[in-house]
Amino acid sequence: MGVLVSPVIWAYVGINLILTLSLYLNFYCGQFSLGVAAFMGLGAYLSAVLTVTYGLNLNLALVISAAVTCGVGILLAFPALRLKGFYLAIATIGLVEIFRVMFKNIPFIGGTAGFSGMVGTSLPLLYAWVILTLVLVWKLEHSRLGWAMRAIQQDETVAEMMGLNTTYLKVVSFGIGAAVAALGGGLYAHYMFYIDPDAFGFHRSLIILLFLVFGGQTMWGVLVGVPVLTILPEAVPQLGGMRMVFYGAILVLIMNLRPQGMVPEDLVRKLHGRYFPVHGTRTR
Amino acid sequence: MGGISLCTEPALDESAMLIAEGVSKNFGGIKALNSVCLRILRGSITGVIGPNGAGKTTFFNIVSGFYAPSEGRVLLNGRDITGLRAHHIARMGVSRTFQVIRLFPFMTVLENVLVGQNRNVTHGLSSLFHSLRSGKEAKLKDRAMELLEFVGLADHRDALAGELSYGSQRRLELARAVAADPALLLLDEVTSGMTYQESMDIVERVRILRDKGCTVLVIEHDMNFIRKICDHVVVLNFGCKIMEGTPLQVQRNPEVVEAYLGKDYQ
Repeated sequence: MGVLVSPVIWAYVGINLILTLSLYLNFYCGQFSLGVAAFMGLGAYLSAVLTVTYGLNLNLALVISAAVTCGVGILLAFPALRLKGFYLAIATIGLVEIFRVMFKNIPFIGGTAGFSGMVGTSLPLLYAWVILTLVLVWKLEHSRLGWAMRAIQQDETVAEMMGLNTTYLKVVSFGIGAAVAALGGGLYAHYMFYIDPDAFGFHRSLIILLFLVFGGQTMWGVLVGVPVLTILPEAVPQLGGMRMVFYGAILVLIMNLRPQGMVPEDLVRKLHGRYFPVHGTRTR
Repeated sequence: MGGISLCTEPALDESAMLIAEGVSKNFGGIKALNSVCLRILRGSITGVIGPNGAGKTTFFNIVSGFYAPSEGRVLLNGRDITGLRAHHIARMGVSRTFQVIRLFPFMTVLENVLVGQNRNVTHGLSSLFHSLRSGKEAKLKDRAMELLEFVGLADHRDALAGELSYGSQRRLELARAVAADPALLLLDEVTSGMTYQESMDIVERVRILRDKGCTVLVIEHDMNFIRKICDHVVVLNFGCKIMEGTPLQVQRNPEVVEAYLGKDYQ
């Protein structure tokens, strides 16, 4: 149980929370995107360059890199979101690969050798950002914008006919998701002191997807799934290089035993009284 | 057979809510709609009837912007809405229900109605900072609750839409469609599967909506329903308008009887 007091583990938990919430934001609007690793990588390199090369303050660098990545995400959203379901998933896998190869071939950021020299962050700072992200997600779920995004998740055609500009809403969800992923990437870069392009490969998106599926595709599910799946493999040091096998086995098990995930939406509703209105209040 | 009817009405017409001018829709080699011309009067309840496959739902899909017509144009309040995106048309005042129920099943009853409200509702990032208990959001909720009371679902406000009984789901679809304060309401077989009492209930609601100034277009198979509420009936068959008139005229027309029952009937 020594892992529970290790600050590195909790840093991993925090970073994974932010990244999984980024993916959740895309799923919330019905977009099956796996581009989170690409935006994470972009955010990591941008913020690292800003702090190391230009000597910027870390928080400022995080905000700037999130904003830039958000812009990149919105630009990429226009072609990408013409695709639906699995087609979007495949296209975003391609996106991840393009970004990874791009990082490898820019000497300015170290190419294959990676990039280092970032000043370490601290756990409190990291968790301040985690809480900020959680607040963002919670506010979104309890807003007009959130209702609209959920409507698209459930039936895009009908949402459009109810007067929702589905293109705009999907682009917004993609942009916010990219910004949050960049934030996670920036914190990752500064906590690890060293980044290399292969850290932002497709396997990263896949693990984050596993966190989300295991948790049950709700905000509370993310809060349960991420710590469990981040800490468990570390608690068994014998796993070593077999970590991906462990994740694979977990995925197979969850698909068979509890496909809806640990904390699915109906459980959240039940736990919040008989019927928990997602938007929060009862007017009468 | 009636076949192609020519449009003689002028395009700009103050009394018309909706004008279809020679609207055709082809799916591959199939002509689902063939030069259909219609004028729907403001404040009327118009029935659209015809055998299965006559093109009734296709016509609704074109008016609501689900797809663009292959030929012809559609005017709403004198404005050309042909080929506009569906959300744009919805915000111009066209609202609809679906032949096969299409609610947002994992959202609550109240949330379904909230999503339907699109009059003066935007979805900017600033809405993240609004309180749900006051201001615009509270107003939207109060209005949504009024609509749920109107269709008799106020007690189920926090239930999931997908958990409702079939009749209740139909009524929720009606509430969601009305939530946008539509100028033109398209009801696609809204009473199908309902008991007599339930459909008379709907008749009552639709009349109230009309009296409030809403123009209504209904697709129905139930002639009883049509007779009760429609001022005017349009008959489609194989994508063509074969006649229009009052419910009584239509019912007595031999061509209509033939379309429904075959040539040798009577």
